[in-house]
Amino acid sequence: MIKKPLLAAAILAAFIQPGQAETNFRGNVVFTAVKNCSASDAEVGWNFRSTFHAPMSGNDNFSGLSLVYQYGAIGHRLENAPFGKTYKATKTGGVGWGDAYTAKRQTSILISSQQPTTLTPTTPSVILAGKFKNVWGSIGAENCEVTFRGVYVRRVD
Amino acid sequence: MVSYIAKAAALLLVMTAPAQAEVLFRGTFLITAVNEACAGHRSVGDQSNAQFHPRGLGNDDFTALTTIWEFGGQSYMIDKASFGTSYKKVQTGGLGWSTYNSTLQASILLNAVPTITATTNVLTLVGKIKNPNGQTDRVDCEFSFRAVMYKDVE
Repeated sequence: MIKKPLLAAAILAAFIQPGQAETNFRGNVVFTAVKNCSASDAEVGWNFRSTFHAPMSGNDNFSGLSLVYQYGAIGHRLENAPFGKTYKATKTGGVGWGDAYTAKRQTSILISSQQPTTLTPTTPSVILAGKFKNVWGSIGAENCEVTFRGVYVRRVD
Repeated sequence: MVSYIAKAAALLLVMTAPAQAEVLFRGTFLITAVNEACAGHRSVGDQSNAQFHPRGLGNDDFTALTTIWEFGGQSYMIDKASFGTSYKKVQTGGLGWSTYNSTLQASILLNAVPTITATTNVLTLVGKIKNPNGQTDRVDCEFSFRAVMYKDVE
């Protein structure tokens, strides 16, 4: 009789244990160049808080990069692959004026430089350089290309 | 007469020209270790926006590191000097509940002092800060930090 509650407690404990922590990098992104963008889409100097998630040891298998500003945010996600040196289409959504926002047009990202090139759960910081195409997924901004730089530290708790 | 007008125009131009922009680095600042004296004051994982003002590059002659979090900020500044690899006293002040002026000076050191040139686009500072708010009851509070920043662009 005592064993049964113990077993039940052990099973319950197994279910409610938090999953292994993901390694995330948090920092800031700045737009360093823009091409074919309207002033409402992107300007040099715009900067954001940002989280970068890489498909690395111990992490779920996706790449993610968010841009968070004072009144909204957008996130770019690529399943089962790292961002690469050529443009890759991303799933993009966010929040802003109201309910959840889904990109109206295809968004793409490339990472031209990542330092260090290999990330592990103990990597202290990451520096990215790359480009977005149609960063907000807007209608009419399909040719808007933004060059950015990202600086991140590994999240610690 | 022409010379006088040209001189006056040149002077007016100098007076109305915008000041040369200061070179700044902006990014993120993370506390990576704290000692017991910081309990309830600073914690591992505290992360802020950061801005660093170096000397040189045509900048005004002071070094400053500012940390800005959601509801306040704290800044560390030393006049006519750079941060070094041993502790240096710095002016510290901030904003939180209201404008904050410290009673004591804080101290800051960097594990390595970076060389910053006109082509430096990213900057990592790793170091320690002692008595971050310059308080009489936090003299022994010491934390380690890592800051990663990009050169600001306009």
